[in-house]
Amino acid sequence: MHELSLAEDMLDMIVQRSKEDGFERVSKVWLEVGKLSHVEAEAMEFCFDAVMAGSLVEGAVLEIIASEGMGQCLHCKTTSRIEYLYDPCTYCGKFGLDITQGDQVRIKSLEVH
Amino acid sequence: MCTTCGCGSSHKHEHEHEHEHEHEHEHSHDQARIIEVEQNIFSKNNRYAALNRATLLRYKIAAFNLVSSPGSGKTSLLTQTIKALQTKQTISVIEGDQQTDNDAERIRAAGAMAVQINTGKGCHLDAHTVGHALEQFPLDTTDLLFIENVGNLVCPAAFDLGELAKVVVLSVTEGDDKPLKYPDMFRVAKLMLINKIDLLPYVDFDTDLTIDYARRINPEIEVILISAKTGEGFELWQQFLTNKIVDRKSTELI
Repeated sequence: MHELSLAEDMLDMIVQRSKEDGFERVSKVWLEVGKLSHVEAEAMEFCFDAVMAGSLVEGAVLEIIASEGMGQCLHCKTTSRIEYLYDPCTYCGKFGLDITQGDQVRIKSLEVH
Repeated sequence: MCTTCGCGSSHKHEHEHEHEHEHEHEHSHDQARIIEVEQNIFSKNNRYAALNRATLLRYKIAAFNLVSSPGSGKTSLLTQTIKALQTKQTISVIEGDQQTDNDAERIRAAGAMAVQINTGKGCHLDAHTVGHALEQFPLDTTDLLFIENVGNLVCPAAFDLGELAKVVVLSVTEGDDKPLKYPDMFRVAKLMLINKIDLLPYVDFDTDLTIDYARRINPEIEVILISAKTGEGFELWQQFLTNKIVDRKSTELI
């Protein structure tokens, strides 16, 4: 469950940002989780509340924005939407896609006070 | 109501009054605002990984992050590799396990320097911990560094440690569809070692199918069939490592 250590890193990033932007409390976190990324949204939700307890993010709502997986075929160069890393190209049916979207996990924005 | 910000209580504002006046209490504004962040949550780990990568480059060390499920034979592969290469190369090993320093002891017994990292409840190594482990080695005399990650085919895939390449070890006693079940790991690995091939006659493991599955996810993954027990495949593995060491030694520092 590496989401636990990633939630801890998220908290560090938010604390750092609070010093730069001068906020005292966070009430909502928008997190983009790519469908092909290393992060499982449910596991992140599970860890989030526990990690944020006692911090300036305690009680904040975690809003997960799922981003679709997209890959460009190495053979026909077409970009298609894929569910899994081992999916073939939707157009030519060959395997081997260069992932162009959906492998990222990013804090998009924060609602702060 | 406060007429300056519209909140319901009385509190201090800067007034253009010449006189001072008393308020019942102070409180901070609780006005919500949205700030854009757009920050990768791996960025903290990646920052440490970049530092490790720079250190390894400076000392011209070829570093490999060995990843697999528990029991694939990573430590046996390493001890055999050390025995085969130690007269030509100086090898150091970072051992990652949740508990015990048994593996580090095995590595030292084989003749290499080893630092054990116990992750406790942690399921993977991270770049920050590896950076501190690097401080314990004589880097100027090290040619080759192996980082044996915690036995786990999921979490270590997500964390760059600053290595030159991840090497995934899959043994033939595991299922041949592992690349499909754990695609993240096979996507990030440069090389797949299919280990324990001496056991192929006794198990239902389709080597070609496994390679096909791995290349669906990662068309460029290199593959070596190997046995830490019999030494089969070690020539190719040593050649792979030697080529990387030579490349690294000839890398010009910018």
